[in-house]
Amino acid sequence: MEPGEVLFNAATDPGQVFAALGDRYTVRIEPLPATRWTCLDTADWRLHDAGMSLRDAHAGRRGGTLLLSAGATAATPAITTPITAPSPGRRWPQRAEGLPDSPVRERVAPAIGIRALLPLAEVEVHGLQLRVLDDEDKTRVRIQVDQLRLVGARPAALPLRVLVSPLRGYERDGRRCTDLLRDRLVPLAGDSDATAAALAAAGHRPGQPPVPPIRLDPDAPAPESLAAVLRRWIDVIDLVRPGVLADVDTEFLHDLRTSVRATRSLLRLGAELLPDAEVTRFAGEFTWLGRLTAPLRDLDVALLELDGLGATDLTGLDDLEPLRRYLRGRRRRALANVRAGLDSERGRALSAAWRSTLSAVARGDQPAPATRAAANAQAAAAYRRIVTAAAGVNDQTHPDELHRLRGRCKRMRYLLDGYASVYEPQPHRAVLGALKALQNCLGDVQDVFVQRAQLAELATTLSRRDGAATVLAIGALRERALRRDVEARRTLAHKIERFRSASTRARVAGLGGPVATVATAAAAGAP
Amino acid sequence: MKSLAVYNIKGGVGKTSTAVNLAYLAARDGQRTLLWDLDPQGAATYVFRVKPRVKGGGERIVANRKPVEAAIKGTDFDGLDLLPADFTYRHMDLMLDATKRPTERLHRILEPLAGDYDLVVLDCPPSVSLVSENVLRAADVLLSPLIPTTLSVRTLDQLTDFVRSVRHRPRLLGFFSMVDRRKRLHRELVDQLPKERDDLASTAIPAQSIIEQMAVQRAPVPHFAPQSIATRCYQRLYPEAMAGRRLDLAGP
Repeated sequence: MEPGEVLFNAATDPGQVFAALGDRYTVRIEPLPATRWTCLDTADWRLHDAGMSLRDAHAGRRGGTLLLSAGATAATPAITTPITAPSPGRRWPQRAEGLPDSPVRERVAPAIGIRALLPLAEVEVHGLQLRVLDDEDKTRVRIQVDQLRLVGARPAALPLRVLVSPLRGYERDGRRCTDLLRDRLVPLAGDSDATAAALAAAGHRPGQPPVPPIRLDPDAPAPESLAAVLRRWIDVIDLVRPGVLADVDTEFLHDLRTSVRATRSLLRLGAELLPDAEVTRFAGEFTWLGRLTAPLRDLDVALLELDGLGATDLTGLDDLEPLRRYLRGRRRRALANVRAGLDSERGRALSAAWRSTLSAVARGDQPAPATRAAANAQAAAAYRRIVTAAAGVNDQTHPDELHRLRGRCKRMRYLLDGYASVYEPQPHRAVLGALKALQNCLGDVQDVFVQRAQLAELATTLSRRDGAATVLAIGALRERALRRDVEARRTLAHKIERFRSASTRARVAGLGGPVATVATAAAAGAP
Repeated sequence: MKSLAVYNIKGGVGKTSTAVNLAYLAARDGQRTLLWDLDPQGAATYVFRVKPRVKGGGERIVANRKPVEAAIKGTDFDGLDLLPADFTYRHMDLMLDATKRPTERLHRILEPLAGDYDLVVLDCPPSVSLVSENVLRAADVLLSPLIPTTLSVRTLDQLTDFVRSVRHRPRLLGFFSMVDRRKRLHRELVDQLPKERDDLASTAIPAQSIIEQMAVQRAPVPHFAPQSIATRCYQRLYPEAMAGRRLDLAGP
């Protein structure tokens, strides 16, 4: 909330503000031109989470202004009076590099990273400016009174916004005006600002995941719970699909692919809880969707690396532009394939068909184990598979084998995420921590392997059409990737050891109930 | 932060009008501007409708017992703040004399404001004194209004000598003020002298009742008479004062 901002009930009339102040002060009133705000944030609320509020204020056909306010962080001071920059002309969504070079971009870019700013709410603003004068007819306090209305699909009146801005040296007068207004009119409770009110009215929940986590009943039949977990993932897929088609930012595709992988993993782990025919059919469908989107994701990762947004150190590599151009060309074709696939009959039918199957599963009346028992058994089995596969890993293990191990880890991760509400919190947190550490390490090895293979292929292609400098730069990139591989492999043994340890094993055993002591669990050879 | 002092040994030559109008134009140009009314008469303070006093007395600022920021008042115009006059400034020489490094005091007072403002305009009292030496130390540009008389060249030369006498030398720029083109002498001096001297601005400010109206309207001329000749002249003088370039040799 901006300093001096007070929100009053939407039914409050600007005349009431004027009357409240006019009883005590000389007040002049001036209309302000009507404006519109476009309230902006990323799909995953990165600005909100960083304590920032950004809007694009524009009037008529004139260029707009970006207004950013922010709380203090460890590295940066609070922005009390919004800082401004020319807006990029209502062309939203927009990534950080699309914003004009300005202090607004300097603050916003690190917060939003690779995500795009989306227009999340459109607000019509009819404002008045009141000037509170002293006996010399000098302005001491400016008070802006904004009547706000959410426009678009869900039009609604928003709270009356009053912004009390004392001129420098007249802060006490500003406080008196604010106190008077708070006494005479009833301000809204809480500290949310007008932007937050607009977002809430538009149906958003700033800071919350767009698809909320689910709470499972541990005693409910396992198929019903599995259907609920899987329904959440298809909700995510349906939510991000338009962002993938519009190519808003790379994270929409990333989220779609995560949901696809999670669905496939849970189909595999919970296969005995679902009809065989449906498992076979939808395993095939989601495999198709995963394969359809894989090339585009690989190219996104490669381009993010080249844009300096990945783990690769690009210092001193100046000849990568031909490579970047080439990859962008391939990405355009890969995106066209993804669009064609998602828009195909098969792509469009998948969600509805899957939802219908899940509804039938949830309604099923076949005898089935309780959710807690099934979740525990699946966790124990997933853990056992990882431990078995990890037993033979050493410095020379082929990346394909590590990739398979990583797949097992991911399956267990989706299980732990999906059934989080069923597991005991303490062991769940600990097992998840050990699993994430192992996954990240395997991910590094795998990323480097894919990157090196990709670079080798690119070097062959580009050596025929571009200069030696580019090929040499690619060679340097491969070398740097190799160093990352060595580093990742050095820590892998340690991560595996931690995951296979007696304490982790005991915590896996304790996911379903009171945690067994390490010694007891180890002695029993659990799970 | 740049500082522009409007200064002359003589009174009644248009210093306050110039300081007020240039400060207003600078703020309108997007410069975060502070006008310091150093004249105990407080004419600039009056124009901006601010009470001519510093809480606790102006000597507390000079003596470093009160932060200068606490005395600043916002004007009705965006980007333009005022450090109001205080009647105790009539004793400013004595106040300055009582401080360490008395010729640098104003400069030191302004230092903490460097991050808040792009431009400080000093509206100086007429005198040659310790205050004037402080003004020379604090200013990047010394803008001096001159009435077009035969003595005006001598006044400018005296100022030049004065500036030469100090270690920190601001750029001195004179300009003709209160020009009455009905008078032959005014016309001749205004047309001729700026061509001969680099330290004389090509823009001259006419003697017009609209400028005197500032005290009635209590606002800068470009605000209440944006289309007036006086406004156009101040608009031409502003870049000359800020950049020191000779932009236009035409008189008013």
